[in-house]
Amino acid sequence: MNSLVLLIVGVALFFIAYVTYGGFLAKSWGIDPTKKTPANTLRDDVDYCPTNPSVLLGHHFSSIAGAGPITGPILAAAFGWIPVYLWIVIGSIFFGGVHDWGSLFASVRHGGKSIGEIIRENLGQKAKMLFNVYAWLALVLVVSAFTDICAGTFAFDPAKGDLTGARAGTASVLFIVLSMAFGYFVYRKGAKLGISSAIGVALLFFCIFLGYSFPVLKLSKLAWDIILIIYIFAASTLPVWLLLQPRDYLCSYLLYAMLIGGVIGIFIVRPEIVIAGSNGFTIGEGEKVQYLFPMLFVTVACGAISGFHSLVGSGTT
Amino acid sequence: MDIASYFGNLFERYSIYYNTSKDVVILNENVDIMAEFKDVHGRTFLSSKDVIDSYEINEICYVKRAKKVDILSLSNYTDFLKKAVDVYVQPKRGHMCTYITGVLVTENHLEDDLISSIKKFKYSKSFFFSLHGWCEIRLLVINPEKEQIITNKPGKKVIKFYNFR
Repeated sequence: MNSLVLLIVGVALFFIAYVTYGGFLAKSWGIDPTKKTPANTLRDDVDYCPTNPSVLLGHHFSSIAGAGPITGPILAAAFGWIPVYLWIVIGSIFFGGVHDWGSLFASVRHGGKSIGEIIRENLGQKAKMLFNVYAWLALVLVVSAFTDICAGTFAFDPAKGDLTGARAGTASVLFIVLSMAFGYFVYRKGAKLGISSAIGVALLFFCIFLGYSFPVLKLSKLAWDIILIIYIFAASTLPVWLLLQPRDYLCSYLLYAMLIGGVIGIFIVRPEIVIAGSNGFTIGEGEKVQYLFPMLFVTVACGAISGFHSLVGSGTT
Repeated sequence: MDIASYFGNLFERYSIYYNTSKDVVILNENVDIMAEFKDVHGRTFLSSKDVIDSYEINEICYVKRAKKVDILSLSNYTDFLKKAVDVYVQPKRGHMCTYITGVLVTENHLEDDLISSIKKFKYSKSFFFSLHGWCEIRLLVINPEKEQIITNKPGKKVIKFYNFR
């Protein structure tokens, strides 16, 4: 199967779903484009302020486009590309898209309130507390899962000698240092954003080149687990303008470049998919056996359902 | 533009996004217009109280009419602005920066050495190695009748706001 066919079919299905199913949902929910949103009706230029749709799109895109949609399908491909592709397309149309849109629209219809407040209003305080507990546990799971995935990705095994992880780890550390320098010069020293962005993006790709060419951080998975936990603590305590914001800003360029580059690459190269279409319901043996259900739906979660964005979406908009 | 019209115009501009006061005494200094602005950026999780991360940017503007501006009066005014930094800036976790904007509006001619002093004026203070933010003073001296605005380097970023319309 040619990957270009999958890309075109996927885009076509999403477009058809947007027009047909999206139109059906809009009609069912009574969406009225002429009706003013809380940003206009409750405008106080403090919590409620109309914002340019392009800016909102940028905020939401950065909230939703995390590591989950990338790593999940890669891991789940162990079951074959067909079940992963079907779940991404069907899941995004009938579950993820509806879930995301529905939670945001619920916020709009509840005076722009966050999801927790909507739950309390409709289900009561106990329901809200239960949801809080669930969300906190899910967050702990997400953080630990991604820490483990990253540590595994960056780890270097001297016995195998594969430098892929060391390259990625070195490039990532260089990128974090670059982000902090960017934040310091732009916010603290007042460097102009346009020029700084151009230099920052150029240096970002240079960091990737340096990491690939000089993979000096050859550390074990355990060492990376510790480093990443320290990094998570630092990221959550350091000022936003110094690390998180510049990191996300520069990363968005990398994300767009990868997306655009990937699509162009598929159009130009048109690679054939070489992994098996389906490896059956059960893969692995003995203690390492995995079953399609539920593992496919657990690994490809953000790529089809995107629960996290529905939680932060109402806080973003 | 006459000075009274400029003041009226400026107050209206401030009123859109700032909390404004007229004819106040701040740290024993008579200030014709005081305007305060607070901008809090943040992301929340389940409710508006569950803040994931946030940062705030503040600006406090002190606009004073001066019959005559010379090196001495400029020095007194900048001392007042520095005192305002010590008293009104609240560094804390989540505080990114506070700008203290001092505006002197005058009718008298601005001498070259005074213009040079204004342009060279620089005051910036970091709190806890900038981890609790920083503060910067923007200084502007304006002559509405001659449509002249002289600023220090940080003041150049807001010069358009003080233009004559």
